[in-house]
Amino acid sequence: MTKLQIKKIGRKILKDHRPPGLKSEQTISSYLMADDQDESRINEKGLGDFKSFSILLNYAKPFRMKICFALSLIFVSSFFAIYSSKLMGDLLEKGLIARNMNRSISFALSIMGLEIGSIFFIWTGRKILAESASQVIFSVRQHLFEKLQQLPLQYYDRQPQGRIVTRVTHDVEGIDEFFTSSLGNLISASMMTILAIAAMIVSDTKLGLVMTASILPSLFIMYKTKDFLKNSNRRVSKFSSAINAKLSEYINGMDVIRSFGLEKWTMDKFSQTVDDYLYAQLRGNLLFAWSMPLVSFCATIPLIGLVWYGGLGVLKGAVSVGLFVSFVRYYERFFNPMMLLSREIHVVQQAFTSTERVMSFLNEDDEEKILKNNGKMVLTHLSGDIKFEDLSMQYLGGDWVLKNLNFHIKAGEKIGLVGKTGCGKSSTVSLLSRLYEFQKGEIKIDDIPIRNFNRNSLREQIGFVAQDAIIFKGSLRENLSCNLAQTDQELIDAARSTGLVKAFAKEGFNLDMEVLEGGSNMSVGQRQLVSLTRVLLKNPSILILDEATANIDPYYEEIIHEAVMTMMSKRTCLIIAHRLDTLKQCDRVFVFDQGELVEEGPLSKLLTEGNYFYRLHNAQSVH
Amino acid sequence: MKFQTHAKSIWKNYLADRWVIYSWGAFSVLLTNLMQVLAPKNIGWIVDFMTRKPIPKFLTGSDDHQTFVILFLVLASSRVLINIFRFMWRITLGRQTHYACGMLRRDVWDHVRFFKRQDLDRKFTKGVLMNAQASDTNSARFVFGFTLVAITDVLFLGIFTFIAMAMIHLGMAILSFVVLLFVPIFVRKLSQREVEQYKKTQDVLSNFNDLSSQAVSTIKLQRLTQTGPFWERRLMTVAENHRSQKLKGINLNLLYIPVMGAASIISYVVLFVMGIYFTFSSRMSVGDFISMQGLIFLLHDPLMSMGFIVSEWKKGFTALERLSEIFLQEKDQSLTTEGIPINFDKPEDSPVLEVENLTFSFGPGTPLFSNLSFKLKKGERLGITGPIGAGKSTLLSILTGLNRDVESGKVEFYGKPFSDYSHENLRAMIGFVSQKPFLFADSIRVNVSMNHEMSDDLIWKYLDLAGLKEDIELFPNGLGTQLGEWGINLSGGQKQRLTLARALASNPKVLFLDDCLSAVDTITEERILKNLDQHLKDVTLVWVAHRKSTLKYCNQTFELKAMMGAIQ
Repeated sequence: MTKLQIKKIGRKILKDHRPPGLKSEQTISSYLMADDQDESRINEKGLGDFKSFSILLNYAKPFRMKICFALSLIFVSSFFAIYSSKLMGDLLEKGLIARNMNRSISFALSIMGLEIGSIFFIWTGRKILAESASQVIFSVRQHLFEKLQQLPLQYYDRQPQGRIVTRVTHDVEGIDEFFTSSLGNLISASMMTILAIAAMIVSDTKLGLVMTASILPSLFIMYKTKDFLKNSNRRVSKFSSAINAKLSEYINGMDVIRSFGLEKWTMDKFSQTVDDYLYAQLRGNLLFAWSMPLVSFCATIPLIGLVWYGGLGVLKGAVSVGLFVSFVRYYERFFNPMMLLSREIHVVQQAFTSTERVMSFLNEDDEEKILKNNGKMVLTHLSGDIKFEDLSMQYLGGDWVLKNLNFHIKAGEKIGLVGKTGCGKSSTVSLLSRLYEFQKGEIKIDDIPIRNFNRNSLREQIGFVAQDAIIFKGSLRENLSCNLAQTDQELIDAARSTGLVKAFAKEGFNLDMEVLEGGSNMSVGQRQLVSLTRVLLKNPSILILDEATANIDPYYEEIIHEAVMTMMSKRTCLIIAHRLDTLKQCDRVFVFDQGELVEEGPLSKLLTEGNYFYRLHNAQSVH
Repeated sequence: MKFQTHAKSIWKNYLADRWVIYSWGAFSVLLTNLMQVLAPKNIGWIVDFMTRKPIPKFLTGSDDHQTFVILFLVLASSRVLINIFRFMWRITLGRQTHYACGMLRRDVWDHVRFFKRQDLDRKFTKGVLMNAQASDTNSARFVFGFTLVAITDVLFLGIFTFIAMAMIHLGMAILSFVVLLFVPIFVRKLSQREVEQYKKTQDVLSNFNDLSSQAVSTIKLQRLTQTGPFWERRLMTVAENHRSQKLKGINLNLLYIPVMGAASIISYVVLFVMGIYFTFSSRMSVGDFISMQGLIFLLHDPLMSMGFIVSEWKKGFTALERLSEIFLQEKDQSLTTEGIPINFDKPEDSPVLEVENLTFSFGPGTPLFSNLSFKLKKGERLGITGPIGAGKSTLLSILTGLNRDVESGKVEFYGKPFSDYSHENLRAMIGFVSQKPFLFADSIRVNVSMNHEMSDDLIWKYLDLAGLKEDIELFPNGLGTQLGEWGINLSGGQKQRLTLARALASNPKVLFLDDCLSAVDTITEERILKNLDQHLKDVTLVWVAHRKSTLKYCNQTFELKAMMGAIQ
């Protein structure tokens, strides 16, 4: 955990302090607060609604012809619908009241024709629009995934993981929801509203303006209530997920609950969580109960106004009955779209927030830009001679984490790296893979400055085995190699030499074996062997082992030990270790403290001298 | 069948208990619908009034102006009333949706907490329960509220609209109704397909989200192992799948446009053919024509809703049946039986825990251990060692009374088998610290005190005994430090010590420690062991440990060897 993260969490906790025995609602609401503050901090750094929206439009460029076509279809459809409303008035006045049968029939037929056309056009238009919108979102997603690979690691160190996950999942979904589902509704609703207003003003300016003006109260109320409603929805969904989290926690902790007899206690806590949720729901219910009818009442004000002014106009003979009926129909045409707009307004707002976040994320600086100095040298093999010369590094304006490091590792040497957490051993290893930039000094591999190498090509030459193997859902084959050129035989050979085949003796080794998420159908040892085999298949020149043999059950320990020994031969190896057993295999051990190399030499020498390593070893059996 | 009946009875009882509020709700919906039907009728009257056609007597004033004002007031007040009635059903019927949801969600844990271990492992796995808790309660709640509103709405609005139309012209009303009957059928089919498609899309989406978060959480490793492009390719495949599934859903949704469009066109045909004919033959006024037009479109709503309701109703009850399965699942008897109180008034040297000829095996085959016998008195310490897989943890689960599936032999606690006591009484007396440290996502304070009221001083004392005091004093918020998702992640050793402190705080008579200091360094471990030995003089301790050093405080030890039973 970086210092920065600890500080952040510290702040979160500070906000959390509360006297004992307070209801859990307070805890959760303080989480909500913390989350809100996080969000507001994001906004400070963000791009702003308008700018991010215009960036989003760039993604739509390749599909602009289709989108324009769709929009014009929707426009034509709205126009037809409005014109049909006008004809309804004509039918009444010039047909029915004037008792002209032929004209009545021709009006009726025109109305039918327009309605059919309107339905057909809007259906087609909406389909085309949805199709193109989904393409746009797809390309946004594609860029996001590319971005994940391009961002420098320091970005990931600074941001809580959850937030980045939110960007690539929830936030994109917000945009997706808006563009593929709501946008069509909104566009057709707004077009209908605008055309209805235009039609009213054209047919009778004064009455039209009165009608238009009387929409204002409902717009005002909509605007005023949208934040309440949005917050209420958010509160409800947060409390709802608090219940889910609680249940998941209790199911995970079932053994503890049973062994302490906490059935009643957990029920009380669970009930409290449900009550908090219920309370939020009921508050939301009350809010909806008055605000929805209020908005819909305000939306009927134009009708009431129309009846009053229009009716008086008809009485005075200033307005014809036909016009009055047309206006009633116009009103119906824009009443529904208005209600729809009011319902979807929070989706729009959500979409803007999401867009802003996603675009800000896409706008972050890439590894190329931050680390610079990407060399051109592409290599197929290294002998693995490593030199650190007066090397110093710091993370993003922080303290120096490595200070004046000087060492030389000869090709084929096995080096153990030890020290407390944060002593600089991981940073040293990260620098070799060029995950971070260093500020002073030089690193040379095979006597070539490391900045001369192409970054990815260098990484290809470095094999890394972590403590926790990463296994994903798919076949065993997919888990071993993502290089499609590798044959099954190569995979099997590698698996045999690491002992993976032996480890699966019971189940029967099979490349097509289905591996579950996180490797849950494998033991820890089997998982570690998969990741070892994966590294072996890449045939790296330099091997880095990060406490790769910890947490292994004894049965596999032997197999893994053998596999590691096989892989280490003829390669330069850096071994991050905490346990003495692991260090015994090393030619030399480097002891780090506060970014400096304080001791080095063979293990036997370090252990006997009663120096820093000796103390370190005795003070803690675990790091 | 059993679950269906239960689901129905949950629903019936809920409604019966709250019949007053439900009647109020139904009444409000009824009034809302009345006002809704009044609106197009009102416009018709106004048009008739304008075209000098007769209008009902009770709406006529002394002069034209007064008549107009009356008509206007009726319209305006009906608009105000409709919204008041809407408010009323929202806070009566609508509210019940949420109350029912709260009840169902609470009931899930109320039952699950007593489930048998094997049911939790096999039948009701976490995924199943989480799904029931989140999505089934969400679907089921609607049959308690909003779906009922919709049903009442459809019923009243349909009937009122029809009556209003029939009053203008019966034949036309019947015809309009009959030709529109295709609407509910289509809407029902469509909404079913939509729900299916929605489920499919959600499945793809949750898989997609899982994969995305994995991709983010493993980014450093991807960089180190150069597996990034591989992930990208995988993600894009799923993204494309998600896109096409989602688009399918949207296109299904857009199908409502032609279906409802067809309904409008058919309504226009009926209206124009009959309406124009009747108006010219003077059997209908122009105002009636306009009312008819408004009413025929008002008829679309209930017909469309009818389609939705059928599938909503089904969906809700299926979810309620799935929940009933949880509610009716057999509970673990040992957790629910009422027992006799534990008798502590025994002579000093009578055993607290007595094991005789205990044999245990997982299913048929060689037993894990057999014929195990020993006695433990107050304040005694027993050490158990042995290799992995010898059954140490299983033995502890039997000795604590949490696992009672022994093959033969007996285990007695204060002279009586575990089954004589209630779960609650037993747990208050028996402490158990497991290998896997599980903590609640709450403060350190709550994690230590749990179901006991406890002063901070006392909590610090237990933390001190467990060798964790100094660590926690360094945290800025001390005991208030939140653990879990939002809090500091304690190190493995700290977690283990906290679980020990928690067990001490429950003040047990017998304390079982299952290799619970494995991640604690030797110096601290030594200190803790000494603490325990000194401060827990009257407590019987049972220790399982790998390190021999741990066992030096024991006055009895035995080694459990795989498949061979005990060697005393």
